[in-house]
Amino acid sequence: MEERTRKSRESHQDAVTIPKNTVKWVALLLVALNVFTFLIGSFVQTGASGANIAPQGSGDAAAPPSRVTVTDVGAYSIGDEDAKITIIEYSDFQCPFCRSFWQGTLPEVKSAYIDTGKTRLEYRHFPLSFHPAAQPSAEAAECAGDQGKFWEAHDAIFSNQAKQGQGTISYTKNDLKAWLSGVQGLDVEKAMKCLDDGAKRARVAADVADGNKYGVSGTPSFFIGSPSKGYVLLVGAQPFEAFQQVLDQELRS
Amino acid sequence: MNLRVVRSSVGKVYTKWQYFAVTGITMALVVAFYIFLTNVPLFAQAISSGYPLSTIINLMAALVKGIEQSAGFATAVTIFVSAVLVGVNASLLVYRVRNFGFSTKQGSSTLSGFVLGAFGAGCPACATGALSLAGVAGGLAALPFQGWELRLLSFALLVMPIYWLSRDIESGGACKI
Repeated sequence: MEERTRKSRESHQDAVTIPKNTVKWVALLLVALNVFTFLIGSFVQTGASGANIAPQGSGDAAAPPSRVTVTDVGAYSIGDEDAKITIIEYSDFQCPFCRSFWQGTLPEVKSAYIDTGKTRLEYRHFPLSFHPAAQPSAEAAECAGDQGKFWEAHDAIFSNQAKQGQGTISYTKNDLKAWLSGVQGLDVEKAMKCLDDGAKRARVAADVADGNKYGVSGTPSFFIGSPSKGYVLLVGAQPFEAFQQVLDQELRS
Repeated sequence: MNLRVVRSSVGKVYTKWQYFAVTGITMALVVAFYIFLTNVPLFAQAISSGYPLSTIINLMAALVKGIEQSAGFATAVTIFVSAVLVGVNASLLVYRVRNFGFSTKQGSSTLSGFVLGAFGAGCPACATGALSLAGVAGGLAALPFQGWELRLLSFALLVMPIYWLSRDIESGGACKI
């Protein structure tokens, strides 16, 4: 009886005894898992953006260390056609970080590099699946482009969202139509018919496919370089100084 | 967790400027580590393209300056808080090793602090990566509190070794009977 009681007590003690450092090792394990997912995750997320993951990308998100070769698709651009350096922007009209670049960094890049003929900026579409208004916006901008108003539509879409505050702005096709009606010289009805007909769907899809191929994993992503030397990939709505470092070096080389 | 222990040991450690320096340097390294990991392709391409070291350093500084713009306020705050916590971990760790040595028996807290401190910087973004790997569209934004729940977990993981190290320091590096 006594023996049974002792065994029972021992068994009970075995059951409740937790190794002294278990908590520490569990914490370490959690951190190790965090580190592991971070190391992999840093290659599949968009730069430092916590809000703009593009999990639908099938391309090699971990861009190769060598420079990227980007083929010309005749996308809309601003700046001198013969500029030494081209910035190819992959962007999403509903992405707040793309808007932040348009609002904060682009004006400085434009005045220092584009207006001076050193650089050309090319815009390509990369509407993310979780931004429902991004795809119609991209198509609408292309439709406006048929009337020579791509950049005006581009600016109108971003500026009207900026008026509504920060972060991701939800908007409808009717909002888009209202915003485009503010673009001088644009036949809005014609542009909206073009959008409804899906006339530019393939054009936008081609940009997305190309972007995936080049390693675009989120927006905005910028390929900076030239067709002859290849491009480096700068991801995120980075400040002007980051563009300045890359552009100056590319212009020197 | 006994906060008095933490306050007392932190008070002991930050009586010398060297420990402030350790915290500051560690914070800078943590931020640089984050920037590097989130821009690996850029740095790899810059190095392979023969960018001078000065340009790469300036580029790193520019990316640090732009954390809030490129990553958003929440992530910027997370990185800063993580950097502070890792910095405090590092100072406590240096104090612990300098004053009581690195004993393997007593050193589990030290080791924990080191590992958590060295790699904890990954926490702010790890959740984003994990969620995108799991195919969750929107990453942290898809969570009920936009990822703050995971950020707080990360902070908790970084606070734990501060407590363990503080306890070691308070006990004078000796086992209590």
